[in-house]
Amino acid sequence: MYRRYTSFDDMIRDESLKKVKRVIVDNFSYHISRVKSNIFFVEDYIESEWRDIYSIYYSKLNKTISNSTKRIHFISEDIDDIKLISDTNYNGYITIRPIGGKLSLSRVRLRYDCSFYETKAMDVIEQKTVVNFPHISISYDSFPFFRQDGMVTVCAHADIHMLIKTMHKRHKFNHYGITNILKKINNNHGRDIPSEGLSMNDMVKALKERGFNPLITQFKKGKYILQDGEIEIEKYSILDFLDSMIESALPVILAYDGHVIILAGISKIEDKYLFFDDSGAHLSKLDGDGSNFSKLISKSEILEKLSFQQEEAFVLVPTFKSFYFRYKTLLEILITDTKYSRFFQSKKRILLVQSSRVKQHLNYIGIEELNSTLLPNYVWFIEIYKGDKVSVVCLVDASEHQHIETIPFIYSKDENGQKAEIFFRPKIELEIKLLKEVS
Amino acid sequence: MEVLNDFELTDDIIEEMLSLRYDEDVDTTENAEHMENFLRLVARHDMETIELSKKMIIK
Repeated sequence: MYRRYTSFDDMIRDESLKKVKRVIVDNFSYHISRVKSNIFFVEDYIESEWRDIYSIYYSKLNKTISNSTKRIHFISEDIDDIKLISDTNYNGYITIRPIGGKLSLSRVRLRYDCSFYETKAMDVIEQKTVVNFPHISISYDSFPFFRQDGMVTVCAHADIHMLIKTMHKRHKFNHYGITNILKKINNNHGRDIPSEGLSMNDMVKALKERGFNPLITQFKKGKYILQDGEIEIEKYSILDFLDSMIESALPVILAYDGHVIILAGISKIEDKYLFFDDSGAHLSKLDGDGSNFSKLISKSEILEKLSFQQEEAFVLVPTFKSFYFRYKTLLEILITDTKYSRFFQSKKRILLVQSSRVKQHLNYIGIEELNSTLLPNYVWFIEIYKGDKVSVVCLVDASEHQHIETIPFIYSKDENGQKAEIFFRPKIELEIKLLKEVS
Repeated sequence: MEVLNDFELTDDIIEEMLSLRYDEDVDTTENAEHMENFLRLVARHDMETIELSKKMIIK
């Protein structure tokens, strides 16, 4: 049953959503105003996350609570019939959990574009959301935002859920629902309900058990620092690592101050990151374009925030099974070995890419050198820039042993049958795209 | 991205880079020692990461 409203306030009043108006307005008004919707359809909706949480805790309460959510659809055209909803006028939806108070926002699946964050160009991890109406299925780009309920799930669960959804939709990993996520988490420090939080280690274990090959890296004051006796050796900035991971289309969980946020996109033109924060605790304290649940934040702002952080920050990123040659080892050789170091002082991009994709991409732009070369499943794809143009591209074997002495460049046989490193100058401008460009 | 102002990727450098070939005779002893040291520090850093990751509670 769909109910139609022509104003947001009318909908809030008639649907008895006054209790949640504040949380919607506080956390959400920036985006509500940019969705440019003047029609709202509301329906009762069976949401899998809410059903899971409901069965674990809310069904046991001494009062009656609905096991359905309210789904609010945003429509940009003035239509009076649900059948007139189309690809062009549909702007996405949010769901509201029926528990009142500040914890009521559940899912956010708005259709994002650049105007949504007031940026000229932005790349985000491509994820299709499908919404089914009686007359049409609409598929559009969104992010699987999920908000903690504060009892069964806290931000750690919410971010694990968003990360799993992202890996499922973008990289075809298995999908696990909230019940499954909660089932195997071995929390050693407190009650499960109300949840007293998870340690970073618990989060890593939860992802590892489900095959997401999590990689956890510790940063001190925004830097990767190795301690040799009393000497601190600063290796690279957290921004280099975040750039590399997000441009490889891997969602990144950033943890500091006992809370996690998730990185899902980047605006290279403006040097900004697109973050999602399930409770808004971190994003509300950072300047940027957007709401507390999702903001485009400058890299310098993030670095400054982490620089003043007393505690360490952790970066948790899912990776691929047949990937072994880690970023820190690759960068160490690139920076240290005099044979390569001066080339790599230039502006560069370092991406972890499926080799089949590289091969197809290179063919597409007219480079056929690798067609008959056996490649490992994943390669580090490195672009070196001259000004704004890509000057040199090289491939590094991402399946190599970590104790290797030189960079495991991909080898091919040259015309004399000798091993030759693959460096090549792009014949035309080359930039591999793993993220979806949002316009 | 880190871009050094005093470094320019000139055509000469690119040519040199393109002409790089794997050389079996290159003495990698120094690199090997450096890498060993680096990996030892990384291993210690990773252990520290695991211990600290048990202490940071996310909620």
